[in-house]
Amino acid sequence: MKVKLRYFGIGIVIAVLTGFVNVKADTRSNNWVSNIKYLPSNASVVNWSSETDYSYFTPSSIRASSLFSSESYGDSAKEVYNSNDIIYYMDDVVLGNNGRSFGFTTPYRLFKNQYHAITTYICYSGGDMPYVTRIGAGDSYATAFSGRVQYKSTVRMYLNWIDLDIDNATTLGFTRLYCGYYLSVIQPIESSFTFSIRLDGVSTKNSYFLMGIDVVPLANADQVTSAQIENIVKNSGLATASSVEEVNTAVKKVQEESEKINNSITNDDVDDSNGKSFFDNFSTSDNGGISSLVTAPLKFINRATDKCSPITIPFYDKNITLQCGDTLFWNKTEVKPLRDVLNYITGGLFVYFLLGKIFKIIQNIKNPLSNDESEVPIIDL
Amino acid sequence: MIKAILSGVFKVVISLVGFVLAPIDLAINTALPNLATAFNLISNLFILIGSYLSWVLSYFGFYPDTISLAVLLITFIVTVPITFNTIKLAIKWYNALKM
Repeated sequence: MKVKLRYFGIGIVIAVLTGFVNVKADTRSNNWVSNIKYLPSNASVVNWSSETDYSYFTPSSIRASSLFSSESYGDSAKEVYNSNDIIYYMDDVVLGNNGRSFGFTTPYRLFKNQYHAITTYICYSGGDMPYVTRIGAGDSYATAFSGRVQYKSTVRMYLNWIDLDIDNATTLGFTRLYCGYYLSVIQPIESSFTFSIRLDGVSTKNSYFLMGIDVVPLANADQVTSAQIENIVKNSGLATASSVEEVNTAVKKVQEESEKINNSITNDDVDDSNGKSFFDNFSTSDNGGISSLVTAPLKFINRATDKCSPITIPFYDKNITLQCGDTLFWNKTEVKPLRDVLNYITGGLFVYFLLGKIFKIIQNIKNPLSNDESEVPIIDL
Repeated sequence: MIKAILSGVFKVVISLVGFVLAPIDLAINTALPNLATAFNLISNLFILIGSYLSWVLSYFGFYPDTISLAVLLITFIVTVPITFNTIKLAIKWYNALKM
C-alpha cells in the first residue's frame, strides 16, 4: 500500500512538472521565434501546374545551427531549435501556374471534429511575402475561417528579417532572410497527420524556408458550430490585426470565447433562480455535534463534483499557482483519445457497479406492509 | 443533470439526518460542549480536504460526468440503506401503533 502511495505521489509530481513545461509552451510570446512550437518533419514540396495537377519535389534542408549562427538571433533561436534540427526550404524548382505548397507531418493528428488555430512560419530570401491560397490537413485540406473569403482566409503577417553569417550567405547565395507567418483557424475535413500550405506568388529566384508551426486547439466542432466559430473569429479582430501583439490578443480572444460556448453547453449549474426548486426547502446546514460528523463524508464526496480551481500557495514573497490537470494536460488535443478511453472504461465500471447495487437492493427488499417475510419477486440474472 | 440529482439527494439526506439527530445534537451541545467542538473539528477537517478534492481529481483526467457517476455510486451505497431502513422502521411503527 505504501509503495502504491509512493508511486501515486511521484506521478502527481511528474504531472505537475510536465504541466509547468506545457504552460510555458502554451503562452504566445511577442517574440515570433519563441512562438514556434513544432518543427515540421517529412516535408515535401508540391508544384501545382494547375488547380488539381501537381508534382512532388524533395525540399533542400539546412541545419538550424548553420542558419541561426548570427549573433542577433542566437538566444531566441536556441530556445526553439537544437543545433542538429533540420529546416526545410524550397529553392529553384520548376514553378507551376498555381503556386507551390509545403506538405509536412505534424507532431499529432489534427482531428476533423476540432477547430485549430495554426500558424506556419516561413522565411524567404527576397521579393514579396507570398499569399496563401489553400491551407489545411490531409488531402482534402480544410475549411478555414477568419472572416474573409474561404481559401484566402489566412492572416498573413510580415515580422522581420534575419541576417546571415558570411559563410552561410556565400553557401546559400543571399545575405538576409525575411520572415513572416500565416495564421488560419481551420477545421480539417478529415483527421490527418499531414498538413499543407500552398503559397501563391513565389518566385524561382528566391528560397522559401519552412521555419516551424504553432498549433492552438480551439473548440470541439461537435459542440460549437462553424457559424459560431466564424462569428467569434470575425469579432476577435484577427482579420484586421496588424502586429504580433494584436494577433496574439485575437487568438486568445478566440480561445476564450469558444471555450465559453463550450462550457455553457456542458454547464450543469443552470440558473434556476426564477423557479422554486423542490430541494430548496431542505436545509443543508447541520446542528453541529454528531450530525455534522455523520454528514461530513457526504459533504466531502459532494465536493468531488466541483469545478477545479487552481491552488495558490504562498512561498516566501511569491505566490505559486498550481494549475489544474485539465488546464495543463487533459484538455490538450493530443491526449483526447486517451482521455476518452479512460473515461469510457471507468464510467462503464461505475455504471455496472451502480446497476448491480440497485439490483441487489431491489432483490433484498421485503414488503414492509405484509406480515409474511416474502421478498419482492424478481428474476435472477 | 446527474449533478442536479446528486445535489438534490445530498440536500434530502443531510436534512433527514439533521432532523433525526436533532435531539441528540441538542443534548450533546448542551451537556458536552467540548465533545461537540471536537465533532465540529473533525467535520471541518473533511471540509478542508474536500476543498482540494476537485484539484486532485483533475489530474486523473476524468470528465465531470464520470466523476458524477462515481459520486452517485458512493452516495447510493452510503445513503440508500439508511434511507430505506428509516422508512421501513417508520412503517413498522405505524403498523404497531395501528394495532
